[in-house]
Amino acid sequence: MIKRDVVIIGAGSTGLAIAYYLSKQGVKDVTVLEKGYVGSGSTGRCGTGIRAQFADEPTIKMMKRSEENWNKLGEEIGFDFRQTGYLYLLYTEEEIEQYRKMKKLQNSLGVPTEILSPAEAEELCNLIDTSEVKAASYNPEDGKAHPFEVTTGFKKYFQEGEVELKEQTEVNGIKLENGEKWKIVKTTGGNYRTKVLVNAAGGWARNIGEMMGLDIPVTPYRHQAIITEPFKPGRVEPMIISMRHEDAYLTQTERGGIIGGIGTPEDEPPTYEMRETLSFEERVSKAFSSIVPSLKHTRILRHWAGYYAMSPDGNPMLGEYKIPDHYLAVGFSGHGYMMAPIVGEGLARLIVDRKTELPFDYYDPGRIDKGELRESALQMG
Amino acid sequence: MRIDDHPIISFPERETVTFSYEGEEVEAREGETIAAALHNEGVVELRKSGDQKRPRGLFCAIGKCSSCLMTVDGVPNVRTCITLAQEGMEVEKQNGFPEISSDAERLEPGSIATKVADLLVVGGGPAGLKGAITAADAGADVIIVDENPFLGGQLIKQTHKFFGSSDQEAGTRGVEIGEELIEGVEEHPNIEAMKSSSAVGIYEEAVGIYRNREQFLKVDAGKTLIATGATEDMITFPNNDLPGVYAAGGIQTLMNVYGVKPGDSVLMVGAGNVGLIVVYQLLQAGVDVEAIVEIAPEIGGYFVHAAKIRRIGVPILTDHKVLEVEGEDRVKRVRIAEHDGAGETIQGTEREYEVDILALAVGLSPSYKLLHHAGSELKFQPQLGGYVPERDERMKTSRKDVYVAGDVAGVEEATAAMLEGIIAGADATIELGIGGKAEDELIAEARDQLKELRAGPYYKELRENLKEVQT
Repeated sequence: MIKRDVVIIGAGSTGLAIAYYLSKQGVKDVTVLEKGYVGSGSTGRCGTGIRAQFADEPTIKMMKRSEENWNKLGEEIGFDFRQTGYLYLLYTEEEIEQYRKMKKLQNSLGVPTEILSPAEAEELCNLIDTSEVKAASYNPEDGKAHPFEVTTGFKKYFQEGEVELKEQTEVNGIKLENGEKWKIVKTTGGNYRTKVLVNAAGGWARNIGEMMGLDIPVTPYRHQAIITEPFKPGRVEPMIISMRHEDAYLTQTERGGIIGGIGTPEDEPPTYEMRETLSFEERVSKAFSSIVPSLKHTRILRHWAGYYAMSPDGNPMLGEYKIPDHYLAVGFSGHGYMMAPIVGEGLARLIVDRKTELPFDYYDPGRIDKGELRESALQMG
Repeated sequence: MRIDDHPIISFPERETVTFSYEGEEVEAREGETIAAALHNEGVVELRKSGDQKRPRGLFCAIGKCSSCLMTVDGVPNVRTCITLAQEGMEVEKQNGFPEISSDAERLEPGSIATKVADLLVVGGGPAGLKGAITAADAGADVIIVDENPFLGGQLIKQTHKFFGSSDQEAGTRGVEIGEELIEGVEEHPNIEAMKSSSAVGIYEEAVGIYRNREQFLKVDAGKTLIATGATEDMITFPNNDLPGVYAAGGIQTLMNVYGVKPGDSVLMVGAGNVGLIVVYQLLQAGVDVEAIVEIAPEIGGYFVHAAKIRRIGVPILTDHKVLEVEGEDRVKRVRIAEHDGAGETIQGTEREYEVDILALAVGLSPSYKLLHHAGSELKFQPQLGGYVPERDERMKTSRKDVYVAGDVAGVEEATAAMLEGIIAGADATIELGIGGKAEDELIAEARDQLKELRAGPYYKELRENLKEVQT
């Protein structure tokens, strides 16, 4: 039996960030268990985007702080958080009205979002077809980071520090002992005894909960993404979002490929299926070449699927849940990657100090059981 | 330079087409690829690579590597080795990663057409052609796609006579077998052949086909036969990416399909059957061959081929390796040396060859990517060339609607590929309820011939490796 102070299940961006901030707070015996490799779940399959342009106050506050943390993290563990902005293309008066309201709220919370004219949007990327664009919402502090640089950055950092990262180690049972004080985590790599247990298992959060007799209402929905052949980098810098074209999001990586997907989900039930579909390729090709017409000749190099691990109200479930010292960091509903640095910091605080100044009350998992669902966070991109 | 006088192949007179390369006019023959036409004009550097901006030229010449990418009519990253030169085309060299296309005309996306067939065959080489004909003869509707602008795969480049223990096709030249099969496919009322068409993915719903660089199609077929062949291997030495370092098969394609001389003098690496045969073909085409360099202590190919080469006077240097290639923007010189059996250079044995072509015949790897995408189980079997699919005795993979045949199922020779094609094509029709007893008999016959072909001590390892992937 291996004794640890904290065991985190899941080495996606969320689990890794929690471990990182716990170690920053001086917690020594932290283990992260991962059934695959770092980022092998939804993190490595994400669209790379990080934004603070949301419609509700708690998420804007969280993301404002998360972007600050992304910067610091990038410097410390060695990856680029490229603040090239998120550019929402707006086509109708209603959309402009909606985004003006959001801009006001965002500005009041310190997020410097601007509403741009089509010409100003074109200055940011002159390949966009702006013939029907009426305005655009732009926050220059939003950006993108390469998930594999991030996960391998954490991994290297842990190799030099005290956090134990156990990849290829699957959890197959959890037992509670001594009046729920001790959690015995059975894995393919031995058994762990811990007081604090964090479920950061993303799409598999429900399976982990079941091992403790809990029903954690997180369901995986397949979302697909693509990357194209590489071109000269720097031509599509912002993350471009278009509601007119299937809520598509696309941007260019540092290496030169166009990465992205479409926001409107496939019409299908929850699934663990990770195969990609031809119908998605059809939809994404139409959407991308409508937004940036010169992409119509572009070849898709890779195409993959990951999960949006959805909570009932589309907002994260963060905090202690039902069993003392059992924490959830799940149900991010498509925003787990971008939120990870602030979720990590906040949850570490909650575990060590039992409190945080962040709006974690809003994300308290108990809300679901009480039927106090929040309004869904803005889903696009 | 054109090959005008060839002892085996005749290159008929064809119309010329004119295209522009970097603003200069270039003449090509109709039915010739951009890369072949440029090579004929002495243009061997086709682009500068993405990151390091190193000169790159042809390598495989059949669309499998990405060495020959150029910008054509404003569209970047076009594989010029499989793209036909057309009148008025504008071809440009890429200097590093290309710009996103300059064609900003908005496309009004329509819906994507779906074609329905009983059997889709991917790859028009010996395995695919035989599979298509066998299934079509049984009454199946067949679509066959190939990325190249011609059918026949590597068969139409084989100027030598086939032999082997099987009586099937023995004594006939590969080119002749190829021509016969192509005719059989093109004239068959049940077969639609799509050249210059790439299968880009095997999805649950359908197979995606990118046709003639302009049309995307879906093919909804009852069964799919993957006969994508193999990709030529590369070895490591300094400057192995310089224009003039060509795959042996790439050289065959230039010479025997397009009638273009690959260069003036060649050093061949690899004394397996491919290396030996291509050396002989180079000599047929009037190209000097300095020597064959073989890293192993023994010649890997058939004795008869090696004996022929030696009789002509081309030395075969066993236990030798390539040290490096020299040249600024193309091959100028190759340095080789003898090694001690463990790969270490024996001092004092270094020598230099002033050649403009270094040909690599260092092995083939099955082109398994579509099978991987389809979800068919793969296994790594080095003696079969690398990753190959598990298959039952009727060439069906673990994904029940997907068959394999030919080199993609394990690198062998064209005769084996054709027999596997017959088995796969016939079984597909039986499973579809089209074929029957006659097809069962074809399968039994082909299986017997395969057994005979793979008999003997030379094929012991092959047989053992095949057993590993048999389900």
